Amino acid sequence: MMLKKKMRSVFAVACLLASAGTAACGGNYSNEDLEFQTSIPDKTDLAPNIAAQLIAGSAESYKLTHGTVQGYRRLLGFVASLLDHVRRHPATTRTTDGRVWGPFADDKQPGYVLRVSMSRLALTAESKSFKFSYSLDFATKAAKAFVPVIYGTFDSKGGLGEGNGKVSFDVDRLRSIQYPVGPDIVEVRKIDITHSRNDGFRSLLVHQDNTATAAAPTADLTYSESPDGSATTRFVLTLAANLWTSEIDVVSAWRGDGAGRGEIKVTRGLATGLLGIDCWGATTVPTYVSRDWDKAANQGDMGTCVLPPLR
Amino acid sequence: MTVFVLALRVWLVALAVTTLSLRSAAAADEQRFALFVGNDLGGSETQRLLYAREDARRVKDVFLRLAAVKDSNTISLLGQDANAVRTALADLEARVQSARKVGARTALIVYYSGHVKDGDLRLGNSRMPLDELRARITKSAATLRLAIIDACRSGAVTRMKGARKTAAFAIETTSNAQTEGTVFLTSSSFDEDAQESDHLGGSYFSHHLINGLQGAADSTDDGKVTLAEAYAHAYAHTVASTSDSAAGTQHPTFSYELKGNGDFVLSEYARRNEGMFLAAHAPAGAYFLIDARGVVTAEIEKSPNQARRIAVTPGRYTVKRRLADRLRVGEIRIASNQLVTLNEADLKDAPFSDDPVKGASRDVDSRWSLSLGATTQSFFEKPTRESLFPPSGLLAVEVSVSDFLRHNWVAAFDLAVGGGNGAAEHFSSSVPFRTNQLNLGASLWGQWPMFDGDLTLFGGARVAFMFLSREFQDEALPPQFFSTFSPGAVFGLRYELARRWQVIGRSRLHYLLYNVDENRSLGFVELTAALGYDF
Repeated sequence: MMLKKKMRSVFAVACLLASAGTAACGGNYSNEDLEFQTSIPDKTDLAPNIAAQLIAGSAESYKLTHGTVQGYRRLLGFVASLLDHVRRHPATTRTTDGRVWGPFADDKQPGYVLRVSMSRLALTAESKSFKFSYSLDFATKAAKAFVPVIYGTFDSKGGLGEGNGKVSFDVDRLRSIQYPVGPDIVEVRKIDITHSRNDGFRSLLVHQDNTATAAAPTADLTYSESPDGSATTRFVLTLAANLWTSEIDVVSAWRGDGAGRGEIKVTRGLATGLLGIDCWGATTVPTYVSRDWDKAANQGDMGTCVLPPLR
Repeated sequence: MTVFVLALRVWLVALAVTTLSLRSAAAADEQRFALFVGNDLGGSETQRLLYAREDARRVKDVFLRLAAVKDSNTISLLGQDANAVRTALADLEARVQSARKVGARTALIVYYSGHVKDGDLRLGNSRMPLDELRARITKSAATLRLAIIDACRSGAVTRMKGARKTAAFAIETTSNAQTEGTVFLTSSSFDEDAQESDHLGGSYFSHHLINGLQGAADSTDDGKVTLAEAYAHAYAHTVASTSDSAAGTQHPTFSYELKGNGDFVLSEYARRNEGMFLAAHAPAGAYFLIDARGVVTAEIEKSPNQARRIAVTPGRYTVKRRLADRLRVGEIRIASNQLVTLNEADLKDAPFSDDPVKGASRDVDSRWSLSLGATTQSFFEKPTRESLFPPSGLLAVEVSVSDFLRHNWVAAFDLAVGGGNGAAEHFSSSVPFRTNQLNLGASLWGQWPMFDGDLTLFGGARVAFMFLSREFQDEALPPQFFSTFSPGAVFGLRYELARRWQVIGRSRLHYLLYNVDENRSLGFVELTAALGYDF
C-alpha cells in the first residue's frame, strides 16, 4: 500500500512536470529563423577592419587611416549592436515571410522600447535567393508610436551572410522622439551604408550627413577587403582653419600581413593637388616617405613599397 | 445440509488426526529446522502467482514467532530454483544429523508455496519431482518430518493455484500410532485447484494455517496449537472460504507415516504475551484484524463467555466484527511484547459499505527493474533528418515496475541524453551544428512471456517530454532550442540472460508536432539495446 502511495506520488509529480512542460513547449529551433538572422548585418558586415595596432612610429597616413577607421568601427558597431537583438532573442512573432522581435525595453534608455521587424521576398521562382527588408523602430514607452530608426534591405546570394545590403541609421528620427543621442553621433544626422559580401570579398560604402555644427556637412568612407586579409579604404578629412590644407583625400591599402601604402592628397586649400606617400612594413613603421609639400620629410627607397600607386 | 456435512468432515478429520496421536516432545526439548520456499513463477503453461512468495514469508514469520523455530535454523528461498531447494535440504539435513549426534530430538519442517504441475514442483523454469521431495523428507534423520505443500496456480479475481487435474500427491494413510515419522499436509486434493485471495493477501490455505497457529485453531484453549488442531482449522476454514468460489471448493489433505503417540505442538502462541486479547465478557462472534493494506491478516471466532487471544505481529490494525445488519469497527495498536485487550466500547457501528477490507495491493509481487542502454534516434522525413533533427545517439536509463497496476503490465519511466551532428540548409550553402537532447518518458506496456519466460514480448504506449538544442559552428549564430511532448508506441523483446539480468531490444515509434515555423507532423524511430537488472 505504501508503495502504491509512492507510485501515486510519482505519477502526480510526473503529471505536474507534464503540465509545466506543456507550458514550456516550443522554442526557436528553426532553419527559417536562421535565414532571417543571418540576413541582418552584424558588426563583421558593417565595420571596417584595420591592418595592425598603431605604434609610436607608425606612418603618418596609417595613423590617419587607423584613427578614422576606428571611429567608424565604433559608430557602425553601435548600429550593428542595435540590430543584434534579432540574434540575442527568439523571434516574438513568426509569419511565413516575416519575423518580429520585441518590443523590448531599451536597456540603455529605460523610457524607450524598440522592436525589429523583418520581411522576406523571394527573388527567384526557385526561392534560392531572397530580398529581406528590416526596420529597427524606437518609441517612447508612454506613446508607443514607433519610429523607424535603422532600416535597410539585404539581397541574399547564397552563402551564410552573403549578399548585398543597404542600411540607414537616421539619427534625426531618434532626436524626434527626444531620445538622448550619445557623443559619438551628436553631430550626425544620418548614416547610409551599402555593404556587400561575396565569396569572402567584402565592401562598404558609408555616407554620413552631419549637422550644421560639424566640421563638414558630409563624410564618406569606402572600404573593401579580400579573403587574404588585404584591404583598401578611402575617406576625406576636413581640417579646420588651415589655409594651405583644409581638406585631404586619404587612400590606404594593406596586405594581409599589415604592410601597405597610404596616399594623402590635398583636395582643398592653397596646397590642393599636392600628394604625400607613405609605404610601411608589417609593423606599420614607414619604409618610404614622400611629401610634395615638405621635401625635407622624404626618406627611404620607393622600391621598398609593397603595393603600387593607389590612384 | 452442506454445513452439516462440512462440520462432520471437519470433525472426522480432526478426530482422525488426534486419534493418530501426533505427539512429540515439547518444542522446548527439540531443535526444529525449517525450509520455507515460495516462488510465484512456474515456467511454461503456468501463470504468475501473486502471493506465493508472500505466503512463504508470512508462514516463516509465524513459525519464528510462535513455533519455537530459531532463525538460525531456517532457510528461506523466495523465487529460487529447484537446485537451491536441493542444496537447502541437504544443508538442513546435515544440521539435523549433527543435532541427532548429540542426542537432540529434531523436527524438520518444509513449507512450499508455488506451482505444482505434472507431478513436479515448478520453481521458475526448473522442476523438482514431488517424488524426490517426498523421498528427501522421508529419508531425513529428523525425529519428526513435516511437509506443508501449498501448490497453486493463478486465476482471475479469485486466483486458482496448484496442479491441474492430475494425480495429487495424496499419501497412503498407514498410521501405526508411533511417535516418529512423516506428515504431509497439502492445500488441496488431487483434483482441485487451490486459490488465492486479494482480501486475504495470500492463499486461503496458508492464510488459515497462519491464523490457526496464531491461536485461532486452539480448540482446547490450552494456549497451544497442535498439528491436528492447525490442520483441522485450516481445513475447515479453507473449505468454508472457497465453497462459493467459481473455482469450486478446495479441500486440504493430509497424510502421515508415524509411530508413537503424543501431540505434536506446532505453536505455543500463549507463551508469547503479544497480540490481541478478547475477554470472556466480550461479545461473541468472528473478529477480523485488518492491516494497513486493507488485508485480513487474522481472524478469530469467539464463543460466549470464552476468552480468546490471537498472537498477531505488533502493529496497527482495524478490528471488524460483523453483525447481521452492520459492522462493528475500531482501531487497535499492538506494541511489541504487549497483549492488548479489545474493548467493545472502542468499536463503532459502521455500514457494510464502510467495510475496511480493501484487498491486497500488488506491491508484494511488483518487480522493479533498471535498464541501461544505447539508443539511436532517426526522423523519417529526409529533409528534416538532414537539416533540422539529425540522427542522434542517446544513452538511456529506464526504471520499470512489473505487475503493479495489473498482472503482466509494466509501468516505466526513462531518461535519455545524447546528441548528434547536422547541417542546416541555408540557401545554397549549409550551416554545421551540433545537437543536444534530453528526453524524459513515461511508458505503459503489456508483456507476454514465451519459452518458459526466457523471452518476453512487450508492447504499449509512451509519452515523452523532449528538450532539444543546437549550437552552430559559427559562433555568431545564437543557439536554438525546442521542447515538446511526444506520444508514441513502444515494443520489443526481453531475453533473460541470467538470473535477474536481461538483454532488451526495444523500438519506439513517436509522433512529434514541430510548431516553431509552422505546424508540421513529424515521426521518428528510436532503437535501443539495453541491459536490464531486476532488484
